[in-house]
Parts: sequence; structure tokens; C-alpha cells
Amino acid sequence: MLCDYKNIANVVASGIDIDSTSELVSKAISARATTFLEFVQSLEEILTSTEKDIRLNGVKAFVTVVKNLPLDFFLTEELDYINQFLCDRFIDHHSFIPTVLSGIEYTVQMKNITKEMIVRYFNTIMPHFHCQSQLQNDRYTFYCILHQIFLNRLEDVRFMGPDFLYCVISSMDGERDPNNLILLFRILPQFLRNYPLGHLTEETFDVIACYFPIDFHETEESKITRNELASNLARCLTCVEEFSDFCIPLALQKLESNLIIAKLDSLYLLVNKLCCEYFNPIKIKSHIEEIWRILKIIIMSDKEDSTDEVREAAIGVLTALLYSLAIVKGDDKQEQLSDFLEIILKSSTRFLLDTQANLFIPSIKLLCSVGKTSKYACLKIANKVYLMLLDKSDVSQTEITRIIEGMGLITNMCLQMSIDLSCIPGLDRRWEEIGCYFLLYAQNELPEVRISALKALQISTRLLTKSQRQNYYCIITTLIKSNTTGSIRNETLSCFKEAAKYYKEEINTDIIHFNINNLNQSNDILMKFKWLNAICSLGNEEYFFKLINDIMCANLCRNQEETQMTLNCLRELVRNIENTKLLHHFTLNNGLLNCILTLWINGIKNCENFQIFRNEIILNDVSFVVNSIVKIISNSEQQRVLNQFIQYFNDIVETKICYQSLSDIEKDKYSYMVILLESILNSVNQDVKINNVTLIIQNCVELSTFTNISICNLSASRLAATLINKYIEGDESNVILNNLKLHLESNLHLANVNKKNVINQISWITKSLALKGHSKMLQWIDWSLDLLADPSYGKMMTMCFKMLTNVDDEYLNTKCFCSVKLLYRQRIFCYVIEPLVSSYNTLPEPIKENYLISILYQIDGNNYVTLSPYFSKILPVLLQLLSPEQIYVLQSLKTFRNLLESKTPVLEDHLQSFIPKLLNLSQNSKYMDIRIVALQCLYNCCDYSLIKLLPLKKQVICELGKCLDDKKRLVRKEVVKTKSKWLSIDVIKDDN
Amino acid sequence: MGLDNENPTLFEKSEERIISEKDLDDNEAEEFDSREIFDLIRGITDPEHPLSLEELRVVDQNLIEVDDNANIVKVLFTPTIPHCSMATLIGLSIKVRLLWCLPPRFKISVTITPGTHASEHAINKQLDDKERVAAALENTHLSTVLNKCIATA
Repeated sequence: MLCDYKNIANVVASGIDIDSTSELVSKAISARATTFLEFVQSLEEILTSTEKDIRLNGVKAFVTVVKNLPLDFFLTEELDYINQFLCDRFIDHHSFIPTVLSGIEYTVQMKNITKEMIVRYFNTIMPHFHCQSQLQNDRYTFYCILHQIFLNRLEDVRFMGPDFLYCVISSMDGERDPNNLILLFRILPQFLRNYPLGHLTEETFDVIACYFPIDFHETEESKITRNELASNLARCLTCVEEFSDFCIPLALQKLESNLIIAKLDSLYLLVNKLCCEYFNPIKIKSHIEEIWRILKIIIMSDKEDSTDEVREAAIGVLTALLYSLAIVKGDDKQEQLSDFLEIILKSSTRFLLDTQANLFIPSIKLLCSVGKTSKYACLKIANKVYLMLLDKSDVSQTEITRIIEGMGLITNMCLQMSIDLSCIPGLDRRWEEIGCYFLLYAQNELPEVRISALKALQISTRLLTKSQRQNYYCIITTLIKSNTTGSIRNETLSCFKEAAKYYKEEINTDIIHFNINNLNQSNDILMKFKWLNAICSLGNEEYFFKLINDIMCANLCRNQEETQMTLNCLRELVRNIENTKLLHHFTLNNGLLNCILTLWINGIKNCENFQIFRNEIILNDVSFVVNSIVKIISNSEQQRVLNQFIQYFNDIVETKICYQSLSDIEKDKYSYMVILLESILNSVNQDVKINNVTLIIQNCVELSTFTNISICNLSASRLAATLINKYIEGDESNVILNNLKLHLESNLHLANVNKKNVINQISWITKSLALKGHSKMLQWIDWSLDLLADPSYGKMMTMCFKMLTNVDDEYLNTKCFCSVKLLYRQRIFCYVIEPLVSSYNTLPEPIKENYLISILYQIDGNNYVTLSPYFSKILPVLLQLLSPEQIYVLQSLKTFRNLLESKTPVLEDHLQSFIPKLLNLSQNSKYMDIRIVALQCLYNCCDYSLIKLLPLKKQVICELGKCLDDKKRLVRKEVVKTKSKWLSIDVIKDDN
Repeated sequence: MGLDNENPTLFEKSEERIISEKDLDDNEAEEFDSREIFDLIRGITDPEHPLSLEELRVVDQNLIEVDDNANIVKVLFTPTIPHCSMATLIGLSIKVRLLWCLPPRFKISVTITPGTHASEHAINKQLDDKERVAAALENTHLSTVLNKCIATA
């Protein structure tokens, strides 16, 4: 063992490998194979050496061994020696300090350390240690020691009184490292709250306050954020009551700075102060006027440097201040609140005098936020502002708009604070006037006045008296019936909705029933539309579900115009509905879904009125409405609907169709029925069982291929694609898909077939497989690529490549329960782009175009990340196109604009090549669309780095000057926009 | 620092110009008219407030005169108060904006609406002086303020 120690002593003396050796020794000591004493004895020569470096190595080994032992390893007596030893070494030589500090940091955490030892440490440290002369790491270690003391040993140092406090503040005085500061700011509140500050209060505050407001620029590497520093600093500054005397003046002083950061930090500091538990409202009293003076400037002024954020923070302070004044009990405080309110009201009054002035609405908004802090404030403000506004006489129309807006805001405040207008003193006789005022102006001729009156009425719906409501309903009825602008109509409907929320019965009897009877007998389509539209707006109220359902059912199928109009309303209703309960209501037995499907199934089957049952627009709407309802309901409900209606489609779902052998009547009947079938099946969940899926798919393909009706072709091919996506899986799928492919291939060569239909079907199936990531996907894509080369239908095939990147809201997406693989578009792009580009480069002229169009579609549908690996191939193609002689210049310019808009980085290196081309296009193209898009491209170029743009600036501005005299005004507008942007690229941004 | 006019009166903004069929027809040509000039300058920001000249009714379409064939553009502007110290700056920003955005064939004149400013004559003279306008643009401080006003137009 001794021999081992000799070895260790040598290692330590040499200074190499101290860490690993010490670790071994610690393990041996922990395992009781040797003792700590033996280890220290072995170091005797080293620790007493006259060479300080050797001594330092000894101390390092000593500290490392101690640090590797458990916290409860040493007994108190042993610790006492260690403590004594470390204290002695601390003053041995300055180079020992870092090592000894880390030893102290560990030992103060030990279980058996006593008060005396802690005091001994600090008695040694305080006279001999100047924290700020140490390196950042060592200062950090010292703050960690303080942290430990603050957490567990504060009682032990308490008797040292101001000395310890002085040690703490002098150690951090002048600290600049953000890592150290964040640690200090985090641990200080705990200490300051529990340690008497005495005569050092101001010094302590100053040491912390000098960091306010935090000036720290985050870099990408820094782990600390400015906000973190600022919020922790604010906590330090507000953590004790004694700081109030210094903290509020500090915040107010910095609040007047021009820096937004300083303003924000000061405001947050004030809020922090006002909301913290140590806040004493008496302290704020002497500052209250000063605070209001500064806040007023920030809140009211519209100078650019007071951004919305600052303004909101300032309102936050004001409300916090009012809250804190309001919650304090006692007469004296009430007086304080009322005094403060007086000040606020007095200074706002002069802005309320001129309703047309800039600060009229802002000052009312300010008063509203003040009023929302307490009922007392609310009453006082409502009283003052209402009376002021009511007493205005001889006002112009524009002023009325603003007066009504102001009253609306105040009414809203009262409602939020649950204040009854009739109990506001001074207003008790006049409050009905306010409702009348709104009602009167809701009938005004000027649209702006009307809109603001309607908005105000909407807010004050609950405040209107019975007779006022009768009047209100008349106004709503008249407005619904009248021919007004869109915005007034929207406002009227919002009022109608709001009123229906609180007075269902009244709305039902006074507005709806009163008018609907006349409506049913009338032939005025426009009037009917207005009423249906209004009634649809009540779709969120359960009370009216039955009414909506019945009225809609009653108005379907009377004649073409009415049907179209009703479906239009329904379409809007199902698209914008917030409460899906109504849609569930529609699926009930006598519901709308039942009604629509029964009507149209019978209508198509019995060849009734073609104008209604075979009208493309109407069928489109029917399909949309049915689809939207089916999408919302649960699986079991879907299954019920399916079971109920599938029997009517037996011709398509049970028997194989051979289109050519059908009679003309049957052909049409089948074609239209498939649209209805699609509307039901499109959004059913994959779990819902459908029989004969393969047969349905085959029939759909058959119908889509041979039909002459375009809407039917679309529905049938889409339905086939949806079903393949949802239901075709496993081994059998390959057989089915192969058969389909063979069938479609042979159809392409048939003479009596519309090729476009077949191509369309191929495109839809390819898309469906691509979405699903089916194993046959690539085979179908290859086939599509080959078909592009065909001279007769290659051009139609390009649509497939557009379709592959498009996302449809209604069909083939996850909302309709289709399988959609992640990143499917990117996968397709990577697969097709190279063959497309190489075919474009090699193939002869007319066919070449098909590939080019497909490339453009593909680029449009993908973002830069996907494009970047292929850029070297794509860019030459794009650049070639940017000349006025090219046919596809507009399309490629649009693609190019999208790339520039998304700041595609690769393009930055090619600015020099394409900017002259764009300038040329913007001057010399014959078509205004091309000139406009070229200019938009130039506009988007400005987002690249200044260093690349500057060399081109002169040329661009000079050339754009020539475009200023373009004959088309729209082009000139674009030139001005682009030129201004280029002129300002090197303007220095003056934002703090 | 006090503002010349702390609480100015606001006016309604006009609607965007409606695009007609003719505007979209490649074969038709449109002359410069007063509305087009108004659209160029109405969005300029007031140096004191983040409000546009249109909202403060400093510029008005009725006070703009354009003769496309004679290459003349005349703009009158109305300061919000007769002692507005910013009038020259506002005039300058209108002038600079028009110089940048109109073809060089136009002769542009920007003057104060008669009788609306105390030192109307001096300001008009200043704005009409090519040398002084050019010198103002060379001044870094002034051009920063100008750029800020024009940036929103």
C-alpha cells in the first residue's frame, strides 16, 4: 500500500493525471481499503514543498479526492481539519484560489459541516478575496458557494450582519458575465428577503439597479435570453419592500428614455412592483401623478416609437395601479383611488371634446380599460362619458359615427363589469335615451352611421327595454328585407344572431313567424333569399334547428331558381357553421339529408324536371351539402345513412355496367346517379363497410370513360380514385390495379372514346395511389410520364402532374378519411423531376412543351427544400424561358416569382443573370400580365442580401425609370412599387 | 418635446381605385390622371404622427391638376395648422415622391394651398428650387426622415 502511495505522490508531484489517480484513491477510501489520513500523510512532502507549483498539485489532488467522496463521508472532527487546511491554503498563494474555491463549494454542502466552519471560511475569504479579479469560472464557483449558503446556511452567517451582506454585494459589484448574472439574479431574491439589509439597503439596490434596463444582445450560441435576464432582474428589484423608495423613481426615470426596451422593462418593473406581495400602496402615493403623466404620454401619443407593445404594457401598469388602489380597504385609500380617477378623467376630458380628433377613440379605450379595474371606476367613468356624449348637440354625421362607437365601448365596459345602467347616478333618468339614440341612428341613411349604431346595438342587446326591443326587431326586419350593402347586411345578421341568443321566443314570434307566412306565399325570389340567408345565420342556436330544417326542406325543388337559391344558402350554412349539432339534426329521420337525397334520387330516376334534377350547378351544390353532412357524423350514423340509401343505387353497386349496351335514358340516369353516390361515399370512414367495392370501382371507370357529361366524368373518376385509396389493399389490389390499367390502356385506343375522359381517370387513380404510397404507385407514374410523349393526348396528361401537387379541400384528403402519406408530394417530385428535365432537353419541339409544363407544375407545388438538390438542372430551363419570345414565359415567370417570394437561397448567386432578363421583359413584353409579373419578380429580388443587390441597383433603377411611362396604369403602379423598394434597399433602418 | 398639433382632426380615407375592364385590356392606354397622382402621395406619412396625408386631408384629389399631353403635374397641399413647422418637410416629401415615381417628362410643381400657411410664399419658393431640393436629398438626416415618410406611400 505504501508503495502505491509513493507512486501516487510521484504522480501528483509531476502534475500529470492527477484527476484519474485521485479518483482511484477516492474509490479505495470509499471502499475502506485505505483511509483519508493515510492519503494526506502520503502527500506530506508535496504539501510542504517550497515549490508552489508542487504544492498546488498537492492541493489539487486533495480537493479532487474530497470531491469524489460522498457528502456524508467525513465526521465533524475530520471536516474541521479539512476546513482549517483549505482556509490556510486559500491565503497561501493567489493561484491556489480557484482550486480551493471548488473545494469550499463541495464542503459547504457536506452533512456534518458546522456553523463555525462556515464562519471560518468567510472570515478567511472576506479580507483576502477580490471576486472581480478572478476568472469567470472562479467567480461562478464563488456565486455557487453563496447559493448554497443562501439555501441552507443563512442562519449560520446571520450574526455576521452587514459584513456578510457587504461581502455579497462587493463580490458582484461590476459583474459583467451574463452566465454569472443570471445565476445571481436567480438566487438573490431568496437572500434579500431573508437577510436584514440595514444601512446597506441603498448600496445593495444600486449594485443590482445598475443593470437596469438590461442591455444584452443575444447571439445564436448564447443560451441566455435578454428576457430571462430582464425578468429575473425585475424580481430582484422588487423583492423587498425597502427597495420601493428607489425602484419607482428608477422605473420612471428609465421610462422617459427613447429606447423601446428601456420603456418596456420599466413598465414591466412597475407592474411587477405593483403586483408583488411586498407592495405598500402608501409608497406609490407620492409618485402617482408622475406615473400618470408619463403613462398618459405613452398611451395617448401616436408617435412611432411608442409601439403597440409599449402601449399595452403601459395600460397594464395603469390597470395594475388601479387594481391595487381599489382592493385596499379603508377610507383613505378610497380617497386615493377617487383622486387618481379624477386626475385621469380630467386629462382625458379635453380629448373627448372633439369627436373627430385623432385621440377621441384612443382616450375612450383608455378610460374603458381603467373602468374595467373596479366597479367604482366603471360607474364614475360611465357617468361622465355618457353624459358628455349625450349632451353633445348639433353634431355632424361623421361625428355621430364616432359618438356611437364611443358609447358602444362604454356600454360594453358596463356590461363586462355587470353594471346596471339604470343605477348609475345622474344617468337614472336618461339611460333609456342611450338605447333610443342607437335605435334612431340604426335607421340613418348614411351607411357608416348605420353600421356603428348596429354594432352598438349588438353590444347593448341585453340592456334594451321591452318596447325598445319591439322597435329593434322592426329595424332588423326592415334591414333584412332591404337592399343594403354587404357590410350593413353582415352587421344586421350579427344583431339578429345576438338577439336570438337572449330572446329566442320573441325573435321567433316577432320576426320569423310574422314574416315567414308571407314569404311562403310570395314569389319574390330575392326576398326569399334574404330571409333564408338570415334564418341560416341562426344555425348556432339549438332552438331554431327544427325551423331551419323545415324551412329549407320546404323551399327545395319548387322551381329551378328557388332550388338554386336554397342550396346556395345551405352551402354557405354548412361551410361556415360553428356548431355541428345542426348538421347532426339534418341527419335525423325527417331531416334535410333525407329530404335532399330522396328528392334527387327520385327526380333523376323518374326523369323529372331536368332544370332542377340534372342542372350541373344544382347537382354540385347538392353533392357539396350531402358530402359536408356525411363528413361530420359518426361512423355508426354514416353506416345507417349508407344502409338506408345504398339500395337506390343497386344498378351501380350490384350489377356490372356495360355502358355501350345501355339505352340513352339509362345512360343519363346512371351518369347522374353516380354524382349522388359520390356525395354519400366520398367522406365515409374506412371502417364503414361497403359491399362490392371492386365492382363499384369498375363501374365508375366505365361510366367516367364513356359518359358525355363532364360533371359525371369528374365525379365517377374521383369516386373510383377515393375508393381505391380507402379500400384497395393487399395482394388482390395488384390484380385489380393491373386489370384497371389494361382496361384503361385498351380504352385509350378505342375510336369512339373521349380520350380526355380516360386521361382524367388515369390521373385521378395515379393521384390516389400516390397519396396512399401504394406499391403500384411508381408504375402508374411511369405510365403517366410515358403518356406525356403522345402527340395527341400528351398535353392533357400534363394535368396529371398538376393534380399530383394540388391539395383539394373536399376530396382525397384526410378529412374525408383517405390515406395520405407524409411528404408524398416531395417523393413524387424527386421521382419525376429528372426524367421530366431530361426528356425536355432531348425530345423534339411540340412534345417538349408537355414536359416543360409538367416541370413548372411540379416546381410550383413544392418548396425550396425539395427543389434544392435539383436546382442545377431546373435553373437553366427556367432561365431559358425568361425571354419575350417564349410561349410559356408567363407561367415560368409565375413559378419564378414564387421561388423568389420564398427567398430561395440558390437564386441569390444568379441575380446577375436573371435581373437583366427580368428588366428586359418588364420593358419589352407585349402583354401587361408578363410585364407585371416580371416587375413583381424584381420586387421580390430585394429580399436578398444587400451586398449582392448594390452592384445592380443603379442599373435596375435606371431601367425601371423607363417603365414609368408604360401605357397601362396597372403596370405603372407595379413599377412605382418596385422602384421604391429598390430605392430603399440601402436605407439605414432606424429602429433602436 | 411638444408636437405642433398634438390632436389633429381625422378624415375618412377614400376607397381603393376600382379596376375596370378597360384597365385589363392590353390594347387600351390610360393617361395619367389626378387620381393616379393622388394614389402616389396619399399614403405618405405625416412626420409628426403615424397618420397618412390623406387621413389628415393635407392632400386632396380635387387639389391636383394633371395635363398628360402638356406634361404638367400641379399639386396643392394644405398643412393642418397655419403655423405648421413641418410644412416644408411635407412639401418636400410630396415633391420627392413624385420625382421618383413619375416619368421624367413631367414638370412637377408642389405648392401650398393659397391662404393656408403663414409662410406660404417662402415655402413655395423653397420647394420650387431644384438646387435646394437636391441639396436636401444629400443631407443624411433629412433624407432619413424623408425616407421614413415616403416608405409607407
